[in-house]
Amino acid sequence: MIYLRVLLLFFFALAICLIIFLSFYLFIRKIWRREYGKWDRMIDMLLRKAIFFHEGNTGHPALIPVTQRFQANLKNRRFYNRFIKKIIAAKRNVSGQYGDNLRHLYIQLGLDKKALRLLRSHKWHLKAYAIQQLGTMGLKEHLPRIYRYTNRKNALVRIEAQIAILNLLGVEGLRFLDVTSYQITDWQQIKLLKELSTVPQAELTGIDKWLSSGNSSVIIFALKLARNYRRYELYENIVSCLDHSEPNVRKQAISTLTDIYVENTSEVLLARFDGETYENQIAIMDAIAVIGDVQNVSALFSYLDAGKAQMKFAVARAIVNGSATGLECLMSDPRSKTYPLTDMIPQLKNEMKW
Amino acid sequence: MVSWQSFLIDFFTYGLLTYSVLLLSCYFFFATLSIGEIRNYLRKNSYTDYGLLAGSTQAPSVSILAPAYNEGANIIENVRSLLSINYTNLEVIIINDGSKDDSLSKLIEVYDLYKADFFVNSQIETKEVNGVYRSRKEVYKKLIVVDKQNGGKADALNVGINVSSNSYIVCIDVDCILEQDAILKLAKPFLENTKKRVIATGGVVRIANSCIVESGRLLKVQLPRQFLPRVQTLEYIRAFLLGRMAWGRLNGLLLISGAFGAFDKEIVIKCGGYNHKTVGEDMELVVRMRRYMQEKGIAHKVSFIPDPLCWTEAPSTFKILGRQRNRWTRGTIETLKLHKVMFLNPKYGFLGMISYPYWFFFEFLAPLVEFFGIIAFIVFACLGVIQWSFFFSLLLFIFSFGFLYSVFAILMEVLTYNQYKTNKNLMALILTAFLEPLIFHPFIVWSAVKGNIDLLRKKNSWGEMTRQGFTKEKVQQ
Repeated sequence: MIYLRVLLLFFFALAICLIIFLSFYLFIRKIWRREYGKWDRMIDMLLRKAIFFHEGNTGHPALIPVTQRFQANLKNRRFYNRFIKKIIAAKRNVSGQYGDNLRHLYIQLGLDKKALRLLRSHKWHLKAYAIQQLGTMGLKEHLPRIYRYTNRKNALVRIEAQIAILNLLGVEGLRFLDVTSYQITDWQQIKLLKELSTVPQAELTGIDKWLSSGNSSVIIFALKLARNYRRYELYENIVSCLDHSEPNVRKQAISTLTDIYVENTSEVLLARFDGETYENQIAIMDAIAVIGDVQNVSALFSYLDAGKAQMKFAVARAIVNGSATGLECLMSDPRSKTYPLTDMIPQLKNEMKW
Repeated sequence: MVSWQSFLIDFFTYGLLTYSVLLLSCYFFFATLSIGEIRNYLRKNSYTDYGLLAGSTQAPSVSILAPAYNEGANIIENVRSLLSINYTNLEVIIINDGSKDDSLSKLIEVYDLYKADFFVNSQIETKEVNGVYRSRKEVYKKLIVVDKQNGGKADALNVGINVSSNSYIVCIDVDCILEQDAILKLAKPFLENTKKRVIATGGVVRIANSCIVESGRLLKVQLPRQFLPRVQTLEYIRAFLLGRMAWGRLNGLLLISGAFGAFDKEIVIKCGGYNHKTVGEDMELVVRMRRYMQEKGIAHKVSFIPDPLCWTEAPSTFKILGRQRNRWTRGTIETLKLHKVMFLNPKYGFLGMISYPYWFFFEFLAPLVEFFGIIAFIVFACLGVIQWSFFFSLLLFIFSFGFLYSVFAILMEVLTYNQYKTNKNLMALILTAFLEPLIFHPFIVWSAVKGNIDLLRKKNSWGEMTRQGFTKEKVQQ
């Protein structure tokens, strides 16, 4: 029983310690909040000054005036984090000379050196933080260091390095796709596509190479690139992805072909229908419904009896949208008088009106 | 004879003590695990721009399914709130589960609905659908209202699954208030699939009593003024921030709250949808999905997000609370019974060997052990076979740990999301943590015991859940 009482006292004592800590923490936070207001004004003022800074005609790189108090504050971790957050946000929103001024300010304050120190840290979040800073600030001189991290095990470090490389090199930065051995998740792909939307696409090369990559996620990403940038010259490469062993790659290829198609694309897709997974069969019918231009609509009718209602509906939609006479053909088919086509056809008619 | 009696009493006493220590050790373990998990999540989150997903055509398509039964009083505002959610590839499906009030006519009038020609692909068997309604107005094009015969929440959700055209479904209670970025945050784990397929994601549900709500939007978070909702606030913080985060890290989650969860529709359909024969359909579906994946040998994951994404009104009277906890107990037992094959079955890996047994021993059995344990101890103490001092020491030991655990949960809340900001609120929460074991907990245990009794009596009703409604902002004079 003595152990029970000791433990009991220990739990109560610990709870009281936590409550004291909680009160102290809240008190400190209150003080911090007041500080943040002052700091934000100070940081905003400096950033504004830096953005609109003119060097004059001296020919020498001029220093942006920074108060000693500001430099002293930078030694405070919370101030530093707040400043970095704001300068990164500002750099993302401005370009040209304004952006260059912010980069100069960043270097002038010695923050690049601090970022390099963070990069050497063993903690993944500090590495990612450093990479994000160096990439956003456009410090190309650190490119080789950052590039090493594009194929790191830690997903966050990897994606931040990939984004940084894109920031520094533009589309050329996508060369990490040549060597990446890790899967590029859908989330990463969305991030990369977003970053790419802000850089010039003219010299985007290498998609053909990535379409035959050994990493299936690289192929999927390349298919998305081909679709987003309407790379019709890659049509044959895209069609060859329809024979890939991974169903996900084939599905993305089908999806890409709904945007990049030629006269016989529907026939090409239809030819692969029987060998496909159920999910991809649905995707093929959905694609045909978008592409249309089916030479032989009657070929689609044979699939009306195949599979579940979902498939029947996808086939019916493909028939209706596949050719100008699709709806008439479907209506004249005896099966159109039976369930579930009796329920599907009115909806398809409505869709046509839209 | 005397030694036999003392052996029995010792066995009982130390058995109960061992059980308590084991349970407390589990809680301690969860608290430790959740610290790391929340810290990692927050660090990763600081690099996440959810705005990316909001505007991306690559974002996964999501259908929100919200069953409504006699929700006429608030349905218009609730639907407006759902339609204002920040997400591109979204459809909002309201399933009117045979309401006897004017829910449907109100929706038709306000949202300019017409009965559309709509093919309902009945992949899951449900009660009959009377009609599918869409809006004539472009601004409400995301909205689909389904009118069906009454069949209960699970049946309504199954109809929603049949009607939905998107890859992921988010099942919510129609009266819940979602944060604007709730779907973005819930969708992200599905996009991070690599080796394991994410089949479901759960988010934190918080208590909205006393919060200020206007036009279906949460304007100001406030700690509930009434004791019961406040103690449930504490309970939810503990359960979500510590318990589920830890289970999420271990990939052992068996429950995603019925009030708010996202699911991979393909797997839901393959599993046959929600089971309308149980009152714990939310837990049952997650267990069935996991069991299915395990049996098919597909690596999978159920994710959990610590952000407060969904706000709901908690019962504010003992009567309603009792019904709710009674139902939760019955739901848990029914689910465990339906999937008893998983119990300590190595074929189901971590789920069979750890998650299921934990639920069995510490979620299902705990209230029973506690109830009968206390009765037996009182009897023994009255008979003089154990000392009252020992009885009170044991009681205080449990009480002190419970208090410590609650204070720790409050600390985690303050260090992470700090929704209740002021010192006054936090002191109120700490006081609540002190009172909880004395007032709230015994009632919860009693409700769970009643749940067991009702199940034995084969009572399977949902139990009426009347709500008071949210606090609206006072108009400034």
